[in-house]
Amino acid sequence: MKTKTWHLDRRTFLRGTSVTMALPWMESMAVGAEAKAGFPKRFCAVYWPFGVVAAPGKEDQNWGWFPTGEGKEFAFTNVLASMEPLRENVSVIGGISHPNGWSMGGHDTGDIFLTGAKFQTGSFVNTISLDQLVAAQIGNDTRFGSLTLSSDGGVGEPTRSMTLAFSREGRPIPALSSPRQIYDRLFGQEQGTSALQRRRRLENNVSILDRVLEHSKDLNRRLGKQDQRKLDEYLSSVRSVEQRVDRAQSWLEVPKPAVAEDSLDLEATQEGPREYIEAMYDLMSLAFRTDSTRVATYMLGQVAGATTIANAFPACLGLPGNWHGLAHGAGKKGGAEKLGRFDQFLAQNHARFLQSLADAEEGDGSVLDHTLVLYGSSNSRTHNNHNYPLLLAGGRGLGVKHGQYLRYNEREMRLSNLFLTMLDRLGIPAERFADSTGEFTDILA
Amino acid sequence: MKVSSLILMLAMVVGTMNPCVFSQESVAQESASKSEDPRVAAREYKQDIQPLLSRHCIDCHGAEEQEGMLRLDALDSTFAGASAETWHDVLNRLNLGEMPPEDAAPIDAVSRRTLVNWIRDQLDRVALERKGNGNQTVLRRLTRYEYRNTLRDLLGIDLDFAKDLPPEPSSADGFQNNGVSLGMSALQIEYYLKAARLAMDKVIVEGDAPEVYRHRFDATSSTGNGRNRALYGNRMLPQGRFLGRMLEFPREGDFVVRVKAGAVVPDGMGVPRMRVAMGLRSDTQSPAKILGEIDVRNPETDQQVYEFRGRIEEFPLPGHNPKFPGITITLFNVYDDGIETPKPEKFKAIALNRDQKKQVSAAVKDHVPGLPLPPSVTKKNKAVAALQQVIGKLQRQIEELRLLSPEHKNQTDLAYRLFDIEVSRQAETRLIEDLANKDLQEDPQAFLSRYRKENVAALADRDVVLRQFQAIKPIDRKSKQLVAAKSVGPPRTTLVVDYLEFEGPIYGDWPPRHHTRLLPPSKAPERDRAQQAIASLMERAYRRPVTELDIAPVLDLYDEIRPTASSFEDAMRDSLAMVLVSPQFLYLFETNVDDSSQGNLQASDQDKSRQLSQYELASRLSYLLWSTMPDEQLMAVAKAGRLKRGEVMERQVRRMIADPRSENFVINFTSQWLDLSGLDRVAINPNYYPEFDESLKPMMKRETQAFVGEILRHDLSALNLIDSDFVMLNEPLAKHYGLATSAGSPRGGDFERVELRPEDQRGGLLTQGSFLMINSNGEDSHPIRRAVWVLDRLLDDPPAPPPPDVPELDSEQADFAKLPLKKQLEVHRTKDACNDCHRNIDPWGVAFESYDAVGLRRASVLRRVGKKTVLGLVDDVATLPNGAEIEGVEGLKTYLLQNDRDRFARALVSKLLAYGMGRTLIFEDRLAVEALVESFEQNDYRLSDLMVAIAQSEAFQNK
Repeated sequence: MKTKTWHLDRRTFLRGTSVTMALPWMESMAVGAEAKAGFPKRFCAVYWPFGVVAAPGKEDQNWGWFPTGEGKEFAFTNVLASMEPLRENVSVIGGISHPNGWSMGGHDTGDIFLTGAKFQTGSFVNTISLDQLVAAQIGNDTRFGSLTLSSDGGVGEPTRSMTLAFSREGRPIPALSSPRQIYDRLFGQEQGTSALQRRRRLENNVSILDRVLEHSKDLNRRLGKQDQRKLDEYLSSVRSVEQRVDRAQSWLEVPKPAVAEDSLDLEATQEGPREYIEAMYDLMSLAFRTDSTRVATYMLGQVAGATTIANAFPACLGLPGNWHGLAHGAGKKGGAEKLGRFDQFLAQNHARFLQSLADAEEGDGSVLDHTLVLYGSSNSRTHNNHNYPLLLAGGRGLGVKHGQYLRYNEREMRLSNLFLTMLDRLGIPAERFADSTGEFTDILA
Repeated sequence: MKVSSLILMLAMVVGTMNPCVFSQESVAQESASKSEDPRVAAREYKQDIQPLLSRHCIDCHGAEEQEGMLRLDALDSTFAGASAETWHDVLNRLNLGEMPPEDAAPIDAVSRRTLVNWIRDQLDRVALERKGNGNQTVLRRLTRYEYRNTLRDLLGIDLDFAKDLPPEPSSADGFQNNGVSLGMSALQIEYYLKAARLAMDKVIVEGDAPEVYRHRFDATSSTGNGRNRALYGNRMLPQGRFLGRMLEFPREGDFVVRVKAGAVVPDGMGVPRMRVAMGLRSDTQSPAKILGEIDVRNPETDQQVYEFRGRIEEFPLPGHNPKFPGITITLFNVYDDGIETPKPEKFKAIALNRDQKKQVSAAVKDHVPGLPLPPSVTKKNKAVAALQQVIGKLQRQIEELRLLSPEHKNQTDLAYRLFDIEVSRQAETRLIEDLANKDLQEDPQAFLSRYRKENVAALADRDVVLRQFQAIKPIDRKSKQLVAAKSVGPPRTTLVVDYLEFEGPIYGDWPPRHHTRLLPPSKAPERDRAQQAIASLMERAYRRPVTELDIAPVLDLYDEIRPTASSFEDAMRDSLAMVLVSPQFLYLFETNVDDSSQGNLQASDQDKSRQLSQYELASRLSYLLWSTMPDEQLMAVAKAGRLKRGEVMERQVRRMIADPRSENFVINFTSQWLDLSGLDRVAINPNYYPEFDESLKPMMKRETQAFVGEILRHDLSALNLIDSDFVMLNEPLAKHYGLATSAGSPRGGDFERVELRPEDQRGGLLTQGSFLMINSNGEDSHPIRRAVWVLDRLLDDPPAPPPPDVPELDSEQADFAKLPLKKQLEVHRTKDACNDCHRNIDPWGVAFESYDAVGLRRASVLRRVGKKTVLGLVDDVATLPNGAEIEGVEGLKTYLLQNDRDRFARALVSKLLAYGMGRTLIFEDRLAVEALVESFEQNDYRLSDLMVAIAQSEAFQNK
């Protein structure tokens, strides 16, 4: 696989040793309201649908997703082999899941991967996702609070969400899916306008939104309850944009990091999954390394069997059948290898992403040392909402230890416990998260 | 199964059961009066109904067992709350003959009727009671495509302002315009604001008219590289092209491309299809964007001018200081006649064999002319040596040529040789003159004539050789020009282009109309102009008259901005942008109080149904039929207060269907209802279908849309959707289906109505490529998906979703792959957990087994087992859940027309009503649907009449 090198402009990317990434971060600290000591902490989650080969037959041992062995003594199979160079930066976790998902449809649990929510009968009201909780705490010092990506884009529909991120009100946050659009948001330079013009624009944006807010409130009086809820959704969205515009104003003097367009394949589309997934990961890596945001999620695909673009990914790579079909066929003769090869491809992409963070120096360590990256699915084998395949990476500088394969009994440990401990490591102490019952101490150094 | 999942399953069954599937018989019957008194009703239940349930149902649906997650003894007999919908499903199962199942004791006709009538009466009662409660369309924002269309029509600028907005979710019933599922988020507001600013930048102009660029190309700007040279030029064979490269071009505004062209169409061939694309230089790999496509049917002798319009910002333009400057317009002939255009051979000199070479050398010695030199000049003289070398070379060239025939197939090499000889001859003459002048001090003419005299025979021989080749035009080999291979084979469809023209930006007047519509030239004070502009935009953006109160906040904004703005126009841009991010624009704002009163909503009116205002109704109608804002005429009718149930409404609906904008309805409703976007998600495996051409996919989508459009616009029966004696096809699809044989079959890329013969077996939706391919896995048919599609999309009776933790299917049985799919499914159904649901699903899909993943008929199925390929059998005879046996798709079509006509009619009515109102139908809509179904049936199922009836219905006209 080809590896691209980043071309970062001198203005923001100082070539050298320990100061490599310091500049953008320092800038942001100067801008951020509450300058804290220490290096920025970051969070990332990547999700894929349909599960893996969770319990391979004898002849397919090497195509199982989970390593063999346990604890420190474990060996990656073919699937996660690309993680070997990163062994001391990753932990594989097995056996845990969201108990709230056990009673849900086998295709329905992508929605709650980062929320752990319990859907009430007939309603699909979600709760805040881990990334958004993190963003609310540590997302204020960067130009963007969080970055929400998925291969299909938008929000999808309840139980078939195409985003991992949910707001405090449990509303889905639309995911971006076009590399070009993501690049333009993060790094696009405004052509041909002066700083003064940009400032006036932003000021006028504030005025526009202010007035829209002020006068739309009156409309509530004329609406029924259902409609009021809809208008509230609109108003709270306008309010957050107003805050974003405020933030943008404080960032106005700071140029966006210059990232050369041709270092990325921005025209990649979902029809070419190799280039596309690579571009999406590249953008996340760049977003972190330029400190444009500290929170990112990427939903590689979602579980709506036949209704997503991502479902065709394996076929586009020349593997037989679509993703859902591969997952279904994993139990058939030769099926484990087919799904295993695709999971291997995904893991290679993820490893490449982790490596790019590990290669970016930050203080005495790397960007990866200050970033917690969760990689997982909410199915073990397809349609089964137990025993999630999970790989946690990074955070050695946050007191997280790695190089282990941890297995649990699902009655004694749950995913929300891991979330709670991750929050703690990111400097966000909480009593509990969703249905958590305690800490997840095995990853603590 | 765990208890918790059972509870959830029950919830799912109830939650997803579709409320719009009603009994097969019409509702009316005897009135529900006898059940009105609750005590009477309770007694009736106890005496008549409970015993029947106990006898026939409770064994499987009682306290002990809950087959299908249904428990009847505990189901609320007053039909309160959600129980009504469960009862409703019970009624359907009874009516469809699916319950009691075959293996249970049959229910006698009288008991069945008692049960059915009782449930139906209760349902009617509840429907009446609940009517007008809570069945409201929730405040619904414009969908992505509605937003794009509306901004275009509102501002008169054809730019895709929605391109940054996230894709829309679909509701459970498949529609994107459902108010409940259309969410709002900060990201969207951000892009709405950005689009609003961009739009106003474009609409309001300042300064002088921009420079207009005009280009005309009589010949292609590039002839490609050697290998594909035959494809370039004014006479374009299939896949041929013609380029117009422009270094200077506008970066903003509308432009027009004109092409004067004609066609050469040999007998039995299709007409050329001209595609116009524009983008960066074709060799930069950057995708060009298609501007338009058209069949060219007029002959070469009667060339016509074709015009294409676009907005330059929508096309890929080079950045600043680009490596490859300029843009290129490319004309393609995209007609595919299946013949590969012969590539001109890569140039290779004619090789002489060893004998020939010997022959040449000997002949050169014999024939080479000698020089009449005085003794004072020796051969060591440099000028003499050079001349002798040229003469020798020339003689060699002649001797080689002598061995070749003027008919040699490598005409290019002959042309090169002739040019080389010409060069040598000129050099010979020049060197002779030089020699005479400088070294011999002799008159050149005298020396030359001596030379000729002494070599008469040799020089005459030269001319003899050369004369044989005089028909061939010499070509300089440095030009790398190749002589086209002589055309072989039959004449081919050719697109003949006379010229290509570009002109842009075009704007009519300056300032352009989109500017003066908002800011007409005026001497009035700026603030008055501002006020007028705000009112004028707002009235059209909000799709209703506006008041001082509406205008005030925007005018306030203007007052705030104007002092610091660089110009009046600039202040207007920012102020008007506010209108475009206001909720009254972004949402179809149906308040719960009348527009006329500015009063507050009374608590008692909360969530009560009410009649829409005239303007709200105009918008609802316009977004139903056009997916965009109402036009002036519709607004005028609304203003006059005449948009009611009667004739005026009918006239408007028929006018709107006849308007080209109704294509938006055809495309959006058809695509969402039938899930046509599924075509983009199926990857056709080339190992199974090596012949399949990906470009057929969008055509299949278009085929289905064109079919629905034909039915709508020509007042045809909607039953044609099930089976028809015509389809809509273009040439490539007709070929794909094997229907291109008859004389009247389509000859171009445009879709035409094609009459079918019965043996074609292609009538209706169910044998169209779209349905068959969407519900395949790209290798084989997917009978379960096909079944679910029929039940869900066509009959509005979707099966319950699969339960949690579905067991893995074990298909490792020997020879499993060789079994017909029907048998494979039977094997799967031996698992009880699967059988419960799948016995009602699978048969519907089995009927399609004789159609493969790309929609073609087949006699056997190619399957892969490991590395081996097996041919499986096709068995498309199915026994439906109610026991009816059908044979293949044709059998299914006949069955649907005879037995499920009502169910289909009800489904279509329900889907259209849900789409029209932008919400999921609920139990309370039952009566409205029934009334519409009745009128639909009375009007011979004409789709256009149904649209009128829906627009006139109370449900559609109420909030």
